[in-house]
Amino acid sequence: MRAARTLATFDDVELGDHVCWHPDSADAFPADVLAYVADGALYGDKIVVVGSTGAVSGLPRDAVPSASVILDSPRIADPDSVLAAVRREARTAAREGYRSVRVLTERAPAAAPGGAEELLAQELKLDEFASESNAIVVCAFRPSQWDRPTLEHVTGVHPHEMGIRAERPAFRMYSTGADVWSVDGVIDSECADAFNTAVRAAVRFAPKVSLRFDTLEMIDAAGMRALVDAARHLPDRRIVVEGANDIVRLCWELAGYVTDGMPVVMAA
Amino acid sequence: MTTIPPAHPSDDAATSAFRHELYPYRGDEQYLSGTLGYIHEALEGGEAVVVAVPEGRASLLRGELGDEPAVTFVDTTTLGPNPGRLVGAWVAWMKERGAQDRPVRGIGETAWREARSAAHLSELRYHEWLLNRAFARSSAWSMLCPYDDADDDRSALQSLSRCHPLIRQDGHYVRNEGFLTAEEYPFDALNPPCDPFQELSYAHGDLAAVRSKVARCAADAGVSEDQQRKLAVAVTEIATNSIRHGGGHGTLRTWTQDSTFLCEFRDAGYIADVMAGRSRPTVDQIGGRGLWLAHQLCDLVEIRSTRDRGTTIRLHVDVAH
Repeated sequence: MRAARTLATFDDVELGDHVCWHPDSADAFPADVLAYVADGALYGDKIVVVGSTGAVSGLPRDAVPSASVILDSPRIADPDSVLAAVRREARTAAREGYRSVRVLTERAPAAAPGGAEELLAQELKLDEFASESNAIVVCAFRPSQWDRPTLEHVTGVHPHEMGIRAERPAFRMYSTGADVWSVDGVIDSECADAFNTAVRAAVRFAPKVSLRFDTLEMIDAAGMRALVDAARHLPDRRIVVEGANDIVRLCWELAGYVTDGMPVVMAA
Repeated sequence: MTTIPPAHPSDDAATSAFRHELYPYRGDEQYLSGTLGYIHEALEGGEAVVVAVPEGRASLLRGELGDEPAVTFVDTTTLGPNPGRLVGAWVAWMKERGAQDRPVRGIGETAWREARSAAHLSELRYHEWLLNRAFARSSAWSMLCPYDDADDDRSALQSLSRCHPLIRQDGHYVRNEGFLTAEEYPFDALNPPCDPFQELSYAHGDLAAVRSKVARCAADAGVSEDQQRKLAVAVTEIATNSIRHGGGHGTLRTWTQDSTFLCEFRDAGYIADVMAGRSRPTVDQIGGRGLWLAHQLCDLVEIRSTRDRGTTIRLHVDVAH
């Protein structure tokens, strides 16, 4: 079962990880990236770089193993095509005998013009891919290029991050099955907007999704409201919350959400 | 005091709306006389009755009433000790019994001698005053509050009677000239925090720090893990209110007094609605759940809020020893 965790270095990366990397200094980029790529060769993982090597974290072209794949064509500029290409490379790598694929991508605001919800929808798809295929996906977000709220939003949909765990958002939402998303941590008023955006992005893909709250410590009134609003954002959506602890279930009932017609159901 | 005929609402403002009667009694005989008279008036008028009294008193009444279907006994002990939960409970009980606009009478008796602290006693009295606001427009509802006056404590009776617009005597209700008609309730002053107390200033971005501070102090005080998890939600709600509505920041203090762990939140906001947090939220209600959750999750909640001094909220949690 996947679980949220923090990586001190890329040495700690494991199969199925989807890492949100906030490099704290530009100087650290090449060394960290080189180590990530070199470990791929060591463990028998095929390297897949999304974007040009120079633009992705300052990765020198000659540092990339010859068998690596660089997905840098204008034809695959749209996110769905990128994901389809990555999935294709993962299947090819499996046929070629690789252990898995190591995906490296650097996200830039210019490549995410659709706003936070669109960006989170793309990240959730990548997360589902990592979960299903045991691929390792590292997404670099340079803090200097992104506004803080958007960075918080995207951090919330990566189960893993490198460096010191960001204090916000206090939750992490990630794939643990087909249309099943686990939510870890705390959902309070300070991250309710990020949670709302993440759930809205999740219900885009399917009319019915499950949220696993097994490792969610607490949710406050703003968080519950955010969940209900996200479910009502699109018609005919249904969210089943499973594994919630007794206090979360009590608060849900006290808040008045146990009622007919509610698109969010708190399962026992 | 002015004598008013029993049971039949007149044009008097005190009786055309919610009738809230205090019934001081001494001994079982007087208790049964007053309460049974009240119940029989209701039954003759086709009204339902909800009885929420201590078990000993309930047994007395059950013995007299048998299986009268129009009378429902409810167990207030399941609500826990916080008087802040009682208005919501009464609304639910009255609505349940008052289907199809059937008038409902309540009999609500507090075990005053079992009040656990001065703060608890004060909040119990405040609840009685708030009932007048909660049911102000409910002409179909009325309530009798028996009060055991065996101790002959004039001061206690006077404090309580000020919260009731009517007093029942000898089968009649009379207008209580000493009833507090002011818009603002004269709260008892909060005692200063006990030394040593812990203090933390908070603003946006500090909710995790607030929870962490409270968790450490509560654990040190011996608060159970289950209660700590409830408290985490309650403190998040109150601190959020400070940040959103109380000037953007506040001050948290925690301390232990006797067998109670307290968290106090001070901010510059003002809570104008005295009923805030007392009624169960509806599903489409946008806000207003924070104080409700705090009342439901803590053993006592004290709220003091004025325009000039801001808001102080104290959350109490019993410490089991």
